[in-house]
Amino acid sequence: MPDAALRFTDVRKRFGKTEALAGLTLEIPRGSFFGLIGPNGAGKTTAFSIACGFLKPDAGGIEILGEPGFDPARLKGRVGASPQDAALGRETRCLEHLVYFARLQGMTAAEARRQAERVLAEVGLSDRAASRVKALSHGMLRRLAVGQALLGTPELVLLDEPTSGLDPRNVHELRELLRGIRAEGRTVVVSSHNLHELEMLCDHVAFLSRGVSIAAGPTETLTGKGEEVEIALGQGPAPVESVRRALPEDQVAWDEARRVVRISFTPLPGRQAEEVIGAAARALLDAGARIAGVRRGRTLEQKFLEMT
Amino acid sequence: MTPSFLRDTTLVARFEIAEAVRSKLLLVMLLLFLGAGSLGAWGFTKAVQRIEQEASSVVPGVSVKIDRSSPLYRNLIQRFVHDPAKAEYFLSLPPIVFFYAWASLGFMPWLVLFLSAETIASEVSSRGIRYSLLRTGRLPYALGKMAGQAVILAGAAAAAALAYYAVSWKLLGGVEAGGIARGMLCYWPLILLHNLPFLAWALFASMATASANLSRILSLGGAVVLAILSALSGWSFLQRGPVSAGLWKLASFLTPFGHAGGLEYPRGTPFWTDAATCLGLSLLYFGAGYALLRRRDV
Repeated sequence: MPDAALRFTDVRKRFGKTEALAGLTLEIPRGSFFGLIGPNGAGKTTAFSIACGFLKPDAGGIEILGEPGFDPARLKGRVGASPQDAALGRETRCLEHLVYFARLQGMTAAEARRQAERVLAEVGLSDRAASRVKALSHGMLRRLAVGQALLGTPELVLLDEPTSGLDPRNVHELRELLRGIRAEGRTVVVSSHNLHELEMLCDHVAFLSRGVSIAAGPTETLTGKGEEVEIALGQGPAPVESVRRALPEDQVAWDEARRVVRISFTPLPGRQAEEVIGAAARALLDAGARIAGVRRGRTLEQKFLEMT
Repeated sequence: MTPSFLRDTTLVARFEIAEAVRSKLLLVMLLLFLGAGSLGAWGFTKAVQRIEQEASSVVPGVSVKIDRSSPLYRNLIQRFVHDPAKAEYFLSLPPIVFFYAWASLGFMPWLVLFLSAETIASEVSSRGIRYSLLRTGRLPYALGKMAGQAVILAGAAAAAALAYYAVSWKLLGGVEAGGIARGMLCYWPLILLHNLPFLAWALFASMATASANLSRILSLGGAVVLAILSALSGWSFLQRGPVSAGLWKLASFLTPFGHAGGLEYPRGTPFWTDAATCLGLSLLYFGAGYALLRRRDV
């Protein structure tokens, strides 16, 4: 399948007695915004590191932008990555680092400087261009690390925990920056513990557990957005039977603790989530219920907790 | 070797030098080499002056100058150097140049082994190497690091030569200033050549390990073992039979020690043999280190 930006095929990696990847098979479509989700030790960082050629797999193979394995000569400037916990030289200034990296990507000195200045502006570090790395805060270091991954116009951007240690404003700004990259049609792969953030950004996700992918696909499918609806009720009557009568072909469940009616349905032409929500809401309101909220599908967090 | 390969190697080397300047490593190296050079030159000239004073006190009223025409110095050199042609060459050099060459060939390698050992290992340890290896191959990266360190070494060796020159000028009153400068210029590249395999050994240690401390231990510890091997290879009682002698000779040949002799006297076959051996060993050590780096996780 040539439309994959990154493909892992039965990749295995062991560190001593620990099996970090136990036969990971995963395909990341070109142009997707892909979220890698998993608990600590699930193999996310190992998968990233193998994709970037930092780690050698014990078995299996990867294909990256059509190349069999990461070859920096062939992929020069086509892959950007922000490795987790990789330190930049403490005495070097931010701009000098970025210019050096840009030049290693094949840019001329003038182009490298332009790119470095652009990236510093995008990650909000323009005023820190002349600062030495040792003078940056943790959040600034993360932004600089993300920034170097965006030098040039990489077709594939791999970001390992890009928002860890960032304050809410920085997270918001970074999210907006990543949305911009997504709009350009580039492939972005992000790992994060912040599932709410991934849900807002990613059109595809994969759940990793114990070194394998236990589920992968479009976010809408995995969270059931096209085949599940949740309606939260306020205090008062909970006429679940009315909903069951209105939607006889669907599964209707009542979560007493959360006061949520969950409707699972099979989407058909002319009968999508919007029609199901409409029918259920009418039934509930007619029976005197007070609707507190409506949501399509489950959250990534719910799905993650169910699966791991 | 593609233009991109050469470009990347040059970029890494330049960044390595710039990092050394920024981190004050270059300053430390220069100060160390300047200090060692000044101390060596000061010690040598003081020793010379002491010998002169003692000699003149034995024969009152007679001034004995320790320069290359002095019988005392001539006897000393001829006693140390058994090859008459080699002895004559050394006698043609100002004594301070001979001392500079001897001290630099003997001691500078240990400084190189200590200071250059962490260059790659520290980046593996901090994972900073990952930013570079996303953009260039491991060979241009390692070669660039080696080239950068070689340039730093060249600067440090020049600093040591300058220190010798300045101290000798001050203490010897500018005697043979031109000859000293010419002699040091002649030995400077030979000292670099002699240090190249030591630098490659330090890089080998740096590519074989994942922490700066481990790398220093391997660099210095390994060099001590190689020095012992080299010293033992000269002991005839260990060389029982042609096989044993051949093995010891090979062991000696493969260590970076024991090749200074030919470089001290830049004439004839021994010089070219030792020069080629130094280059060959540099390639061997670097190649072995790179073979490890190429396969390892970083």
